[in-house]
Amino acid sequence: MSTISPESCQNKTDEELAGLVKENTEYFACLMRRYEKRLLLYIGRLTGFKSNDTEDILQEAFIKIFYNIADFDSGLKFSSWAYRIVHNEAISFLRKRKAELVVDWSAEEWQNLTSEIDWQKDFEQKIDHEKISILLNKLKPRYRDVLVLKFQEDRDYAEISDILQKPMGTVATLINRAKKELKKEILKNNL
Amino acid sequence: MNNVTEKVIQKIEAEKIKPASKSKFFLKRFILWFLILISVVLASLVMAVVFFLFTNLDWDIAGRFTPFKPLFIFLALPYFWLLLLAIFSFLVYRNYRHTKYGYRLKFGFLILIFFALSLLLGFFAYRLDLGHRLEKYISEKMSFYNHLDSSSIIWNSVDRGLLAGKIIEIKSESEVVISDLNGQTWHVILNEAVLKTTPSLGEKIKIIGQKTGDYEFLAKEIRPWCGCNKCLTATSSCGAGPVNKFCGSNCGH
Repeated sequence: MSTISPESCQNKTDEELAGLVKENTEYFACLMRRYEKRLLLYIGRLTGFKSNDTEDILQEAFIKIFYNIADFDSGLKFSSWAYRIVHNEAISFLRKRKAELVVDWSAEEWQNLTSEIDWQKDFEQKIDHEKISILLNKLKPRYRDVLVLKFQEDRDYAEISDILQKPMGTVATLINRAKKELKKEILKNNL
Repeated sequence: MNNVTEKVIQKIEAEKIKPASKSKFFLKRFILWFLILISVVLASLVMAVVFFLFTNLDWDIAGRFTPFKPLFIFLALPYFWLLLLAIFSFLVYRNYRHTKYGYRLKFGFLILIFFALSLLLGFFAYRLDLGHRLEKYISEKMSFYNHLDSSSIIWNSVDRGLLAGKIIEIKSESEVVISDLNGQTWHVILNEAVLKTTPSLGEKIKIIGQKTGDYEFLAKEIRPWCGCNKCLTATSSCGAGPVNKFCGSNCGH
């Protein structure tokens, strides 16, 4: 499976590579190399797990992607399809472990989220993002999922819709509600 | 260092994992769409029965159940068929949701499309008399239906002067014997009855009148079970009996 060199994949899009995997499975290595880091990061953000667990999840997800590659079609972005499989694998892993979900938000990601909420209206003092990360983890999973994808993974509504398999309108509603819930929690906790 | 990538490559090679064939996914999708199609067709037939039952509703007897006639609709609603419709809606939603892009449509919109389609196809099926035939078939083949069907419940109200059943014997021009919807035998006196159908052996009829004794009923009016509207169409036959001269008259007037 390793005879295809990473260079021969460089000029090809994800979708082209996915098409080639159907004919030559060796192209799958190129896709994995392209996605490994960001998907590991995504799993970490989604679950709060450290490297061993995130690698286990990604390994299983990659095998599923490989096995189901003939089901991928160009109506979707490959990244959305891959994120979807990884997301489902991570959630099922979380359920099996019955683990608490803990999301770490960096200052920059936090900035992205807060810039979308009209904080000035409601809050005059600077808000400590670390304290609010704790509140974020208390949000319902469906709200956290959309916030992670929108503000940490920087995915647009159509991509989030394809990843979470929800209508676009529902995604927009969830994001709005998630922001409102977060605001409410901040006010309730006097942060 | 692509740690996971290398591990996955090793695992794929060691376990000789191959991508599933395209035909497997095609088959899965085909089955889903086939189930959706079947559900829509069945829902349309159910809708045809609902049309048939509504167009044959005996509004004139509403006053025997409630002083406020519009409330009669709640008694007369074909709950059995509406339940079937709800089940098919659920099946369509569930199966459609599992198709490739099924998640892109909102639940409400999908159900709206499903109902619009069922209404349209159901109307055509109704015009082809399929609603009447299906209702008759179920009524004859499934005994439990008579306990669930709203018309059967309404016409199984002897205390309110309503009786229905199948003619099992014609004693004379003025007396027939029927087996009611519970299988009980009644002697029905026709002396003063307005006949909206000519009683014939095996025919299912509705009777308006009053109980005069133990399993004796004095009829004031005899109607074909399927209602007068159906009798007006040349192609349909009401109950087991032939289309007859009385069918052109108005029921309940």
